[in-house]
Amino acid sequence: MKAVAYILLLVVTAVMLFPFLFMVATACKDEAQLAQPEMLPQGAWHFENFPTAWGKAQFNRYLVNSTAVGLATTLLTLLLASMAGFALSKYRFKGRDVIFLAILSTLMVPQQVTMIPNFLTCSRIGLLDSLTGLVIPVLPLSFGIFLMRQFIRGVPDDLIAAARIDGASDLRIFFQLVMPLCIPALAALGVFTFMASWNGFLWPLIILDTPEKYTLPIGLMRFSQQFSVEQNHLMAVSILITLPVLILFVVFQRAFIRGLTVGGLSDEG
Amino acid sequence: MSRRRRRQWAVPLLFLAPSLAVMALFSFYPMLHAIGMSFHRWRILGDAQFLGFDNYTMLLQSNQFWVALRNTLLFGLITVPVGVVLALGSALLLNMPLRARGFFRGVIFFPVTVSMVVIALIWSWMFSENYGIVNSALEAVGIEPQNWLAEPTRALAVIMVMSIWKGFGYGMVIYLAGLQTIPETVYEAARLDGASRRQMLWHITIPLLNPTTLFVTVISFIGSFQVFDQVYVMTEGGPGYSTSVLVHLIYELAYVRFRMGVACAAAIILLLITVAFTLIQIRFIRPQTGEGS
Repeated sequence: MKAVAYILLLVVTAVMLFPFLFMVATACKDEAQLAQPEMLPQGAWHFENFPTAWGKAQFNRYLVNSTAVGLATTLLTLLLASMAGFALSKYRFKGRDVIFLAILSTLMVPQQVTMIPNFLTCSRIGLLDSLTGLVIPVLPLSFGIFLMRQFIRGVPDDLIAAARIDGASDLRIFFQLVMPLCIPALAALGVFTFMASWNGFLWPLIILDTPEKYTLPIGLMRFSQQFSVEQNHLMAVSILITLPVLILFVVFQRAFIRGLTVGGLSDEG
Repeated sequence: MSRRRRRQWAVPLLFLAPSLAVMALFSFYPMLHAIGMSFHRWRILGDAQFLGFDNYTMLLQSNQFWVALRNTLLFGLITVPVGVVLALGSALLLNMPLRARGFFRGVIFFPVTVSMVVIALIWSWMFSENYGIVNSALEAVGIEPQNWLAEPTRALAVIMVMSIWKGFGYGMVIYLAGLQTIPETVYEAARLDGASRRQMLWHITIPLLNPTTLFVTVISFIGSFQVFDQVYVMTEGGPGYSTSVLVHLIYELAYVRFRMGVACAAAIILLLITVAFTLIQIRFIRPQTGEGS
């Protein structure tokens, strides 16, 4: 039984890894080797393709843009969503449930529906072709608020009441009591938000125009349109932009998986 | 007393204000705006002109819409069931006490984290006509090389296989979480009654995973309606519009042909399909898993 399981798993592993191995092999070929049918480069491996390819477009710039946009999106989402989640779970006020339901209802609206009006809004307020435009209109707030509200509900009311008796202000209770208790939820939401932003494609594709503003996925896509024959360089760049993700994934696998499946898990339990 | 009441309002509203401001501008307002636009002739320049349902009837009468809708549904109807079965199968395997379980889980989940553009470029090159590894392999066993991405049916097939490959690790992880909720005592009782492994799988594990299965299925269907990145990178919807999907149609109408009103009508149709599936999810899943939370 176990032997069968291992054999199956080895087959699956081979299928899952093959495209990545193929990517690495292709990235190390020169022009002549690209035309050969063998998967591995025959003769020398051309590792110089990596710096050459990276230098063919402003990939340093795209890397900086993607990082800045990812971090800004994540920090803003964590802050705003936990503030709202705190208000919706630890205060009683008229209209609270209506507000929460309104926020929840936007969860089922696909991004593609609000995308066109948001494009027009951004063009009106000057956010087109800007990094700010990559952040503010696509903060995953409804999902974040839902998650943080569920989590903060679990913080005991007595704890908050005790802090209040000690004279702590609402702001202090939020930042020094509630936020530290929410670290697991914040980590999961943070990973989710950062990856969504880092890999985002459609919205940046629509609003970005000048190459200086490109994020990595858009930069790579434009690069592929421009140098479609140079598959070795294309694959080399693909590896370089996947590497940070791979390293983070290997180091923080558990947090990563929890973060990326947080939507599913929160519904399941 | 009244000052105390005002305070009760003021504090939570201040905490909510930033989120509500952003959502008002970029979620609630555009939602209504999209509905409104879908009833108007709306180009980037010039005034909007009320059309009633004309945008919708125009879409429903255009061949391109039906091709896109058919491809989208086909994509969902094939990738979702296959993906769910693979997810369940790999979760069952990796729930066994095996060596290097974490490694195998990681390998299966990793493509979920990688940018779709990267994945689509790798697969495009694997299936490229002249130098692709797939055609080289076919030639080696004496089969004619195929032009995979230039022929609609084959291009769609490649896109679907790739999407399944990239995505099923997500379902696997949800299933693994679902498997942890089945108490060991259930299996012990079954074993005492002399149940075989196979019986336990079909009569205990799979039925108890029903809520998970429904959840994964609905989430995957909703995601499948929004398929875009891989189509855009691998075929740009072509040749012609033969491999177009709904979101690609919306993109093309809005940003290539600048017909914002028609694009919004197509987006509203996408919304209606999504809402229908979400309601199914709420209707069937919440009552079953709600007890625990």
